[in-house]
Amino acid sequence: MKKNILLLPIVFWLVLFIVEVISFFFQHPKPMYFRAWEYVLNEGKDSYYVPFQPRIFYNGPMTGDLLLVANFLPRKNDVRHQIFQADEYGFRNEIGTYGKGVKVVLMGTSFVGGAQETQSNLVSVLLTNKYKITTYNYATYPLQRYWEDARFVKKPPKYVVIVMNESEALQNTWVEVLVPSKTTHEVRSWKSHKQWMQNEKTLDLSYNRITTILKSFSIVKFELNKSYVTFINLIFSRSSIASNLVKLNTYDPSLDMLFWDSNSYDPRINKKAIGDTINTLKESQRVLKSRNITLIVAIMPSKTTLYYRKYKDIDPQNESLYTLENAMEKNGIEHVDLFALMKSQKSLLYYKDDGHWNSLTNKIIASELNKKIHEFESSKVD
Amino acid sequence: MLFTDHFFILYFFPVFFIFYYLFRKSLVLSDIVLIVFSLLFYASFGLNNLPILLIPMVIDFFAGIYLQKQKSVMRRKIVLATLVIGNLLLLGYFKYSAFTISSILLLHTNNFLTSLTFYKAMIVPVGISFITFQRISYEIDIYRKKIKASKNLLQYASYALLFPHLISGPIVRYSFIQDQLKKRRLTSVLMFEGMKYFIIGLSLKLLIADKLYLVESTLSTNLAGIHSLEALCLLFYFSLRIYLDFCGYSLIAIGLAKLMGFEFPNNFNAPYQSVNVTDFWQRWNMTLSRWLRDYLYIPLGGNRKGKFRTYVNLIITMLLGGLWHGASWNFVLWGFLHGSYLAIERFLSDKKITVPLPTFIKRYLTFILITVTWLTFLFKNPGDIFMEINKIIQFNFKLPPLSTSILIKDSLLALVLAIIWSFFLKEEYIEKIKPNLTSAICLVILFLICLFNALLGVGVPFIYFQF
Repeated sequence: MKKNILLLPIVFWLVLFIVEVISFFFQHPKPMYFRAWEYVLNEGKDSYYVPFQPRIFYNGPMTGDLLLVANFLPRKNDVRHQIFQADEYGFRNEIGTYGKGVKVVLMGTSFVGGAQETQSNLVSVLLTNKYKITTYNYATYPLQRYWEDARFVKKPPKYVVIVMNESEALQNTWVEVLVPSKTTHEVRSWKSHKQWMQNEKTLDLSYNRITTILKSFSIVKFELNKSYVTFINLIFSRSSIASNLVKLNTYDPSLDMLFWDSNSYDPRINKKAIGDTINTLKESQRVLKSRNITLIVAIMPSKTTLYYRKYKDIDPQNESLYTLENAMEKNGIEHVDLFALMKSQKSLLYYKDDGHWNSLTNKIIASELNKKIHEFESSKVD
Repeated sequence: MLFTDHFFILYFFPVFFIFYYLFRKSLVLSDIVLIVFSLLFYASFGLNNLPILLIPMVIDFFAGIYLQKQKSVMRRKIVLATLVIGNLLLLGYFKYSAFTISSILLLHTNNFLTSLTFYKAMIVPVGISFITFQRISYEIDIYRKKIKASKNLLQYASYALLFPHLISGPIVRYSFIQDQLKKRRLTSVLMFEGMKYFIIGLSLKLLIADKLYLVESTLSTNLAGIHSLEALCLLFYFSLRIYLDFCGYSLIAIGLAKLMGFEFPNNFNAPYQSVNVTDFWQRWNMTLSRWLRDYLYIPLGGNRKGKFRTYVNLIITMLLGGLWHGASWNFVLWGFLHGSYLAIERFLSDKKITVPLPTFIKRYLTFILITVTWLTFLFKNPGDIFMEINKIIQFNFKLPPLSTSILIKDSLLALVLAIIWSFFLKEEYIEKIKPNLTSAICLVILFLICLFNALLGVGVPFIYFQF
C-alpha cells in the first residue's frame, strides 16, 4: 500500500495523458473566448492579399478580443452573435459583389473587416444596401495591395475610401509610399469553400504542425485555463484582476471598459506623425489620380481619445486628429471629418470589451461617407 | 522538442514510458524502445540532424573495439588521436568554421554585417557540444583502460542516444553508467524519486527562471533606455536565471533518467554559495568541470609542471571551456576571465596569502564577481557589454517606467524563490524529501501548477540548448 502511494505522481501524469488522447478524438473543448476572425483567416497558399477563407460562412457566438487579454470571464451579455461571410475571393462581401461592378473600394484593417461585427452592420454593406453605393470591402492594407490587385486594374472603382482608426493613421500603419509598379496580382475566384479546402489539403506531417494541432485541442490546457480564469474571477473583482495587467491594455472600472492602446498611443498633438500621414496621403492621392480614382479618407477617433480618463477632456486644439483633419483640408485631401462628430456623440461608440468600434459607429461612418460621395458627385455635375 | 513542451509532457514521454515499462523485463526490448524514442526526440529538431548523430556514433562504437584490441602504444595513440580529431573536426565544422571564417572576414573586410550574415547562415546541430564531449570521454577512457569498449551496439546506442541528457547534459561518462546499461530496475521508490527531480526541475524552470526572463528580456531589449537600477536588475536577474534554468534542466534530466532506471550524476551543488571561484567550479556544471579537468587540464600537465605552467593550464582550460559554450568571442572572453580568476586564486594560495573575511562576505563577493562575468555570456556584442557597465556606473537611480515596474512587481515571488533556492538551499536537499503520501500529493499539485505555466505561458527555450 505504502509503495503504491509513491506511484501517485506518475499515475496522475499517465491519467492526464490518457484524458488528453481520448479527448483529442472525442471532445474538442468549446473555447471560453471566441471570435470568428481567428478561425476564418486565410493562412493557405493563396493568402498573399486575401485575408479570409474564400466563401466561408460563420453564424455563431463571439466575444470581445480584450476579455482574453484581461483574463475576464465572459458574462452572459458579453457573448454576442455574429455572421461572418467572405466572397469567392476571400474578402468580406456577399458573393458576387465584385462581379456586379463596384463604385467604391473600402480599405482598412480589422475595423473595416469587422473583426467584431456582424455582416449586415459593416460599413461596406451599409453603403451598398442602405445608400445604394456598391461598395467592395477590401479589408487589407497597405494601399499597395489594392494597386497590384489585377481586378481593380481591369474594372477600376470610382473611389477608394480608406477608413482607419486614429492610432493606425498616426502610428505608421499607413505611412508607406505607394510604388506604382506594373506588377499585378491575380486573386483567384473559388467556386466553393470545399474546393478551396481541397486545394489547401496537402499532407503536412511536420513536427511543428502536428504539435500545434495537438496543443490547440488540448483538454488539459483548456481545463487548467478555465479553472484558473473562473477561480480568479470568483475571488477577485475585474478591477483587481486588471490591476495586474502589464500589456498594452488597461481597464476603467467606472466604465467597465478595456483599452488596447491607452499606454502606447498618445492622442496629444504630434507634428511629425501628422506630417508623415499627410505626405503619405498626398502621395497616395496623386498615384490614384493617375487611374482616375478619387481617394477619400475617414479617420475615426481612437477609443483612448474618446474614453480614456487621462485624455478625454483635453482641448481639441491640442489633439492630433483635430490638427490632422485641418491639415487634410488644407492639403486638398478628400476626407470626412469624424473628430468633432464622434466627440459629441452621447452613445457609446466602441465595444467595452473589444478594441474595435461598434455598429453605431459603422452606421455613422456609412452615413457620412454617403453624404461625402453625394456631395462630391453633385459638385462635379454642377 | 523541449521538456517543457505540451507535446513532450502530454504525449511523447507518457507514450515512451508506457512502452518502456511494458518491456522493462527485457533489456534488449527496453533498449530498442529507448533508442527509437531518443531518435524521435532528436529528429524533432530536424531530420537532417539524425545522420550527424548516428554515423559518428556507429563509427565510434567499432573504433572503440578496434582501439581496445591494439597492443602497441603507438598504434593506440594513433587510433585515439584519429578518433578525437575526427570528433573535434565534426564539432569544429559545425560550430566553429563559420565563426573562424566570419572572424577572418571581419579582419579583412572590416565589415561586421557581412561577417555576421555568414556566421548566422550556418546551422549548428542541436546539442553537438555535449554529444562530442561524451564521445571523446568514451574513446579516451578506453585508451586509458579505465573502461572496456562496449561490444553490444544496442547498449552503446542506448548510452550515446539517451534522450534526457542528449542535448544539454549532464555529461554522463560511460564509466559511470556502464553497469546500469547491463542491469536496471524500475521500482516504485525510483519512480517517485524520478518524479520528484522532474517536477522540481520543471518548477525551477517554469515558475522561477521563465518569470525572471520576462523582466530580463524586457530590460535587455531596451538597453539604451534603461538607468542604473534597471541595469543592476538586469544583471542580477540574468545571473539567477541562468543558474535556475540550467539547474532546472539538469534536474529534469536526472528525474527522467530515474524514471528509466538510470542514475545520472548531479550537475549542481549550490554554486552561488561558493566562497571563491575555485569553489564555484566545483559546484557549477560539475560534469563539465570534471570533464575539463580529466580530459584537458590534466593532459595539459595540470599542476605537475611547475607553478607558472599550472596558471597557464588553468587559463587555457577555461578559455577552451568558454569556446566550447559557443563559437563567439564573448564566450572566449568569459572563459579567459574565469581562467584568470582561477589562476589568481591558485597564485594567492601558493603564496599562502589569505584574506580573513567572514564566509558570508566571501560568498557575497564571489557571487558579485561571477555575476559581473556573466555579462559576457548575456551579450554577444561588446558594445552592449560596455553599455550595460556604463549604465551601472552612471549611478543614475531613476525609477523604472510603469510597465517595467509592473513586470518587476509580478516577478517578485519568483525572485524571492530564486534567492531562497540560490543562497539558502542545496540541490542535495532534494534527496532528503521523504517518499510519503504528503510529498506525493505536494508533487502532484506542483506538477499541475507547472503544467499550467507550461501550457499557457510563453515557451522560453533552455539557455544551454544553444550549446
